[in-house]
Amino acid sequence: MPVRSFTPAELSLTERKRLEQPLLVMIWLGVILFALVEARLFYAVAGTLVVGLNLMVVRRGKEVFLKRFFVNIAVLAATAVLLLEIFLKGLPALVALGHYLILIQLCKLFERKRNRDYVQMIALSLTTVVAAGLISQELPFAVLLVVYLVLAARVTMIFTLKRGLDAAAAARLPVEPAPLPPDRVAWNVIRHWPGSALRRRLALVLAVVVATAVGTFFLVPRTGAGPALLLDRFEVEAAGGGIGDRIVLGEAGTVHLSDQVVMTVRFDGDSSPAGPLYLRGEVYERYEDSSWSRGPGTNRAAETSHTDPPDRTDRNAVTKRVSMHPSLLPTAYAAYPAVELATEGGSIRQNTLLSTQISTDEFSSRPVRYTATSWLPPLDHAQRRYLSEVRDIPTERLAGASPYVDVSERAGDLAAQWFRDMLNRQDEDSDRAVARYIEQRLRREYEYTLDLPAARRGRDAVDEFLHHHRRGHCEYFASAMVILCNALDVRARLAVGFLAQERDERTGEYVVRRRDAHAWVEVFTPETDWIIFDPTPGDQADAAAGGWRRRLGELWASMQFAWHDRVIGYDARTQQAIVGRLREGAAEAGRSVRTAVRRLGRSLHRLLAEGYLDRGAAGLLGMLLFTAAVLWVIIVVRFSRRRLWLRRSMDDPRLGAQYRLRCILELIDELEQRGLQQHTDWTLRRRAAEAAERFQLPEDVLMELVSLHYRLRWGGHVPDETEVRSAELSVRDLRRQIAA
Amino acid sequence: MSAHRQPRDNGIRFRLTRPGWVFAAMTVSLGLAALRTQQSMIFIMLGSFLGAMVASVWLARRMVSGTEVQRDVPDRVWQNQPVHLGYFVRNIRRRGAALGLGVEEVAPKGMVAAEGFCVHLPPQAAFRAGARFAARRRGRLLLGGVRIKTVFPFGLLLAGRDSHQPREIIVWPGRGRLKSNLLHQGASQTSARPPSRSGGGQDEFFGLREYRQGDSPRWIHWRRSAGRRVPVVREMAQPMPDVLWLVLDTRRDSYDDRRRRDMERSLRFAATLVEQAFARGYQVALAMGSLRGPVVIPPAAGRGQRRRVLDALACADENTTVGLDRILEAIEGRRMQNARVVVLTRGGEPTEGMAVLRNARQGLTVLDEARLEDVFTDQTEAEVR
Repeated sequence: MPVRSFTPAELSLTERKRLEQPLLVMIWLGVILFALVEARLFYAVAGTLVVGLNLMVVRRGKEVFLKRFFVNIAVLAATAVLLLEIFLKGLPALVALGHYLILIQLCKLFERKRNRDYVQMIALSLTTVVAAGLISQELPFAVLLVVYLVLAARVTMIFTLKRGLDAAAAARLPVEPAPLPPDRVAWNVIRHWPGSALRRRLALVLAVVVATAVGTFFLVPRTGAGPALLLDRFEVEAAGGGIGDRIVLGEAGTVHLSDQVVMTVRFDGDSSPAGPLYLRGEVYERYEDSSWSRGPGTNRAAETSHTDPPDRTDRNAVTKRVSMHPSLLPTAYAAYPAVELATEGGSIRQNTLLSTQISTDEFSSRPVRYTATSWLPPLDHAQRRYLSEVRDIPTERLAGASPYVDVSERAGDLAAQWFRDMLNRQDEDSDRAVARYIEQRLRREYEYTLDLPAARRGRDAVDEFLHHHRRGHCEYFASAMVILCNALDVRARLAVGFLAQERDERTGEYVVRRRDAHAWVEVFTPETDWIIFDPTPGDQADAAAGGWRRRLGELWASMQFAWHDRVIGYDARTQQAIVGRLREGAAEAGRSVRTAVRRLGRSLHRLLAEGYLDRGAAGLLGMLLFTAAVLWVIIVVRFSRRRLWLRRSMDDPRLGAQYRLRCILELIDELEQRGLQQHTDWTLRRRAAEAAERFQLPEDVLMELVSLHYRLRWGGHVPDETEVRSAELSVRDLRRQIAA
Repeated sequence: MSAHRQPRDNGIRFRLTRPGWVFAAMTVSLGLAALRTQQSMIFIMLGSFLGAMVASVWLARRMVSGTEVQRDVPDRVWQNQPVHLGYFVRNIRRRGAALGLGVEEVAPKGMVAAEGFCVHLPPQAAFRAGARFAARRRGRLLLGGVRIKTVFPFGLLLAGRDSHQPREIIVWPGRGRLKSNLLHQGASQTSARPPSRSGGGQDEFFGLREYRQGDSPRWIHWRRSAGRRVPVVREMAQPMPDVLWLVLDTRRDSYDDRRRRDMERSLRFAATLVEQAFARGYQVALAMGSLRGPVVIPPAAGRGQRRRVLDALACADENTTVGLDRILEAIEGRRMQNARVVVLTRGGEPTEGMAVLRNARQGLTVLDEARLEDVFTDQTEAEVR
């Protein structure tokens, strides 16, 4: 072998960098995934340190390893940790197993690795990630899982090639004293490292994997909800969610509003009301000592899975489908009092204030779905009577001030002052007009803030808001209005829930975030039942505005909710619904096609019988013309591509020669058509010999042509023009002889 | 089918590798867990795992079916000696490279082989994947076909396609080492004759003699003839070609393992001697017995003769009928004149033919098969096994 420098091909036989760097990153990602899922910093830090050290060593082209004995001792220690965690600390087996797998991987990084060890490490890392997947369903985990799978696919592909290379390099026949030197093997197996081809193949493989995964996800029959996962962070959050029994005012501090999406609301049909949507969760009627609580008798609740008003009317009914974050349980939110409510997999309790609670059998990270039907105001007489029956309180008893609202003397004075002011400005003094006046005045004269000052000791929080601080958030505004209304003998109460303002214009879906939590006022009048007033100034929306970071945060929060709602929450019912919709769609399409065919038949009949070209026949003709045009374009494009390919081939000396010398193969084909025996296992040379004997052709000429074909096709030979021309002439002569 | 296309898809076979079985077990476990828990995340992971299997099948099938292979192997090889052969693999697809292709012989009997491997084969490209094999038995070796296979992309699945390419090669008996020089150098026969007319440099100066009638005046050695009455002419000698007659007694009354082993050793000795003789420019002749009768290859030199002789040794059968006497009878005695004769016998009492031969020939070497190790070092046991 001549003296030369090593090619990358030869180096790739011994180089470990190509495999080890992505492998180390993959192992690190697996460790981080599990540590993130379980929220343990120790394993994340340990994994980062160990993998970082190994990466540094690999990058410097060195190899640091311990004796296998010490590695085995470390593995034994990891086993002891596993047993301790299970039996002494009582950790769940899956979590302990994850720790064990992580420790083993970190130990094995320090041993001298053979291909078997690489297989083990890939398998261990994959098992760790699968274990993490059995624990968590979070979107960040899913995103990292995708990255991990891409990396794992790449590592495995490289490793598969490396194994083949190693096998070729280590192959030794029993009669050989030693394997061939790597440079000789390299010439025989590889020209250059196929980096770009690997990337393309990886993209293809990922496309197939994604398609299969999506198909499996949607098509595998679901049977219903199974047991909850081992650790579900949503479950943990759910324990502290929902709206409490009391609202306490007067506490100092800054209120932080999260962008987390907690609910999506979609109205059926075109019944979506315009403007912001007040989604009521709870109402509070009793106010004393700066705190709100539910009124008396509200705990008389009927447990039902479905409330059905006997004489409801559909005139102004709207039905909305709500997907709600489980942390908001047990409260169910509805725009206007829900008169009909149905949920999946849970029971409903509704109290006399028409506040609804849902209790589910299990907590999970899946959003709770329910359907609520409400009546849009104004209500008719029958609807008002039904609501009155549900409340179990005569309408007359709701007139006048609420006996449960403790109005302070100063608040009463202020209310009287405002009432006088109102009378100076307008003549109307109905309950509704009073409430409207107070609402507008609060909006105008008071300031919205999330940074709350503390109420002075012994002072009522609403009094402090009205007379001293003159700023606060929605609960203060609503509380103040309720108290002022009641001071003027107008029945009012505090309602708490969400104010949905973010509406997807395309789908008509409202997206509700935690920051949309809101309090407002419901005022009772016999003519309208309870109606909504919102005294909070519009600065709330401005407070939610922000830059691109905020927008990114909102997007991420929306994605998280959609992930849990659409992906994690995909269950048997959703599957059946999709199947039902598909069936309906197919049936609808079938009907449309049948109708169109029928119409077309009539049109054609009219065209043929009466010579009248109506719209249907014209459409058919247009469609035919369009199809013909598309076909013509396809043919032209294909022909042009062929021409282009031919031109490029002719420019390339080798491809051009191949194209011109295809006449050799055509000659053999012609001979076969003329009776030459066809044996698929015969080589071209043998066929040529047979042909020469059978057709009395000059064997040397035929063999020369076949030899030229072999050299051109297999040997990388680039014939010059003379050679090609000579071969073409020979083929022409032979054809003449055959024809003769 | 056109002449330049092989059958592309004649039965691609798939087999799970060991990691593939482990992966399949993990997939099944995930499937059971998904059905039991109905958790979407597990369904997603199950889908990814199934996707990996589907991608393995699809990609491997695509690569294997889109690759042509042609074998390039010599038609004569030595027993127990590595032979380098090439597999021309060609990717006939217009798009999509083939990666990690292995090429091996299908069910090779009597040979050990190191498979060929090609890491990367771009579309419409060809590559010569080098491989090697060693034939463990002499005789005719039938190579059935070539299998092209791959475990790419994930090493979970082995996809292979057989390409039927029957090919017969002849395996010559393996070569050992001769301890003694059975081919003495310089055994050229001299004759008192003038330089040949053809010249050509083969003639050598032998001596001087007196001029005879008919001698060409050009042969007169003028300087030596100066003081003589009768001129003297140069007498030249033409070296006779070295001829080796190898006579093998291969007859056995019956064949068992030991006898077969002895016979194989004799054939390896013969092949070694023949190869050495050809290397030294000898004309080699071979006489041996076979079931069909005596096999006599008259002396000749050159590549064709070497093939004939070694082919005859490679194809030696289990002769139970033709003994040494019949072999010697088949050789015309005069052919052996001026030749070096090596006879390999099975020992025992000298036969009648041998006695005649001993009397007639002086340059005769008779070797006893049982004491062959005195002159010949056979291949090692490991090689032979």
